[in-house]
Amino acid sequence: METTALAEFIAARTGAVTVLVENVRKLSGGAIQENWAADLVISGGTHAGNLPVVVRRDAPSGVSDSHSRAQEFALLRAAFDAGVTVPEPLWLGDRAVFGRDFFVMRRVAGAAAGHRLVKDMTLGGDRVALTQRLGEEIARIQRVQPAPALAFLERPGTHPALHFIARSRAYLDAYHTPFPALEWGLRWLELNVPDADRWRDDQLVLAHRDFRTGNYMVDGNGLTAVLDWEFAAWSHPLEDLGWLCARCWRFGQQGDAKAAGGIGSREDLLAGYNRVSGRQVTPAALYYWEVFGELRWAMIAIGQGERHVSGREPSLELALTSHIVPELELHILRMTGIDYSAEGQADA
Amino acid sequence: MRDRPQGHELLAIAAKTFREQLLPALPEEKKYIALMVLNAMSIAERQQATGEGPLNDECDLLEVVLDAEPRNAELHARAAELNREFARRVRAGAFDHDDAGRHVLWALTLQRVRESAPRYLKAEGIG
Repeated sequence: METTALAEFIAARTGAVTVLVENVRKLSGGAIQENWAADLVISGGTHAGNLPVVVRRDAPSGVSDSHSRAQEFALLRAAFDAGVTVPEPLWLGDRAVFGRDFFVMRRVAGAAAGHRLVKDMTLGGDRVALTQRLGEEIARIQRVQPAPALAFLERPGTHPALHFIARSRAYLDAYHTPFPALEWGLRWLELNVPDADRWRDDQLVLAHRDFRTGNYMVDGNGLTAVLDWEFAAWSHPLEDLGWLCARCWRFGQQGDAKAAGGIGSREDLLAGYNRVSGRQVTPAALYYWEVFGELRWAMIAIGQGERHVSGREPSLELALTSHIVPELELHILRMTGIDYSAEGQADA
Repeated sequence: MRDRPQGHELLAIAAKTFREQLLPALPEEKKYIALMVLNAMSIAERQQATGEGPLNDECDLLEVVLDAEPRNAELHARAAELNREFARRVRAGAFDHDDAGRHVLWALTLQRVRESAPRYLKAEGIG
């Protein structure tokens, strides 16, 4: 990374006398964005002192249908201002610096790996407190209000579940392989929307839409940052809660005691959520949104698998994602009234 | 006639050798990739071992539940065609209260899970 250009940019933004950019290293990350860690030593200006940062910028050939860096920066700013635990966004870059879009955020310590977190009790601190904290974070995300800077976020024109059903059906109609069990699940979602009659668009809230274990960081004491905001959109207040509790995001942890992301109980999650939101959501109310989450992940998994199947992006990980779909379908059937497991060999 | 060991038998012994002799020697950061390789080999092995029997059964079940005429089409094309029609009718609500349709949904999905993710069945205690 061009450290001199970065130092000059930060000096101009902060009014610093000198900016040293040290320990620059590339972090693992996607093909569309690059993340670089750096330690800044700033003299004078608004941010004098030592400042650990991450520079997030477009990859050289970054072609993306996800949010732009400017949009991501606006979203992080809105979340940060609403009290969500996110890395503080510091400065939105301009192209003159690197020839590509970027922004600078404060670097946060912690680990995000879901498989490790559900098993390693030295991570994340007290589990009841962490589970409640996750609920609090979801409630704070919902405090973010619509603003011109967030106009890029998608807004369903109808009930968010009906919106998802219509989009999924359109996708499946154009897809080379039919999925009767997913059609069953979508039909169930359509027939069972709990609040279809009383839904109003002014009930839409900001939803992260990928709020799950693996997408937040923790240290030894608790949560340090909510990450991966590229799916964020206006949606139903219960969508993030259901997504976090869906079976597919428990990382192998079984039972209601670990229903919330493989970490804790729905009751603890909702205790945190209800305390901050002032709502009175019950565990039973999450059921519909857990089914919804399983369906949504199945649709995403089909799309990810297709990136491999189509030959556009050969990848073993993407290829295997296709093979997650059948177990999601079977679980969806069981959650929606079709379960013949007790009949033993009921199949052909 | 193919020489034995056939495809699925070769995959089985290749996976066993990989798991026992190569996996322990790999550095920690490569193990996730190695496990993905093993998972892919296992799915391919199970599909090869079962052959086209399940697909034939699937077509038979679907022809009954859809009341479709048996047709002498290529098996994969026939299965795709029948599944497309089944999916269309499920969406339209034709099987909302139909026990035969529900059984077929269960059977077809269960068979795919047996090939793609038998671990799910084990974890959930499904035979």
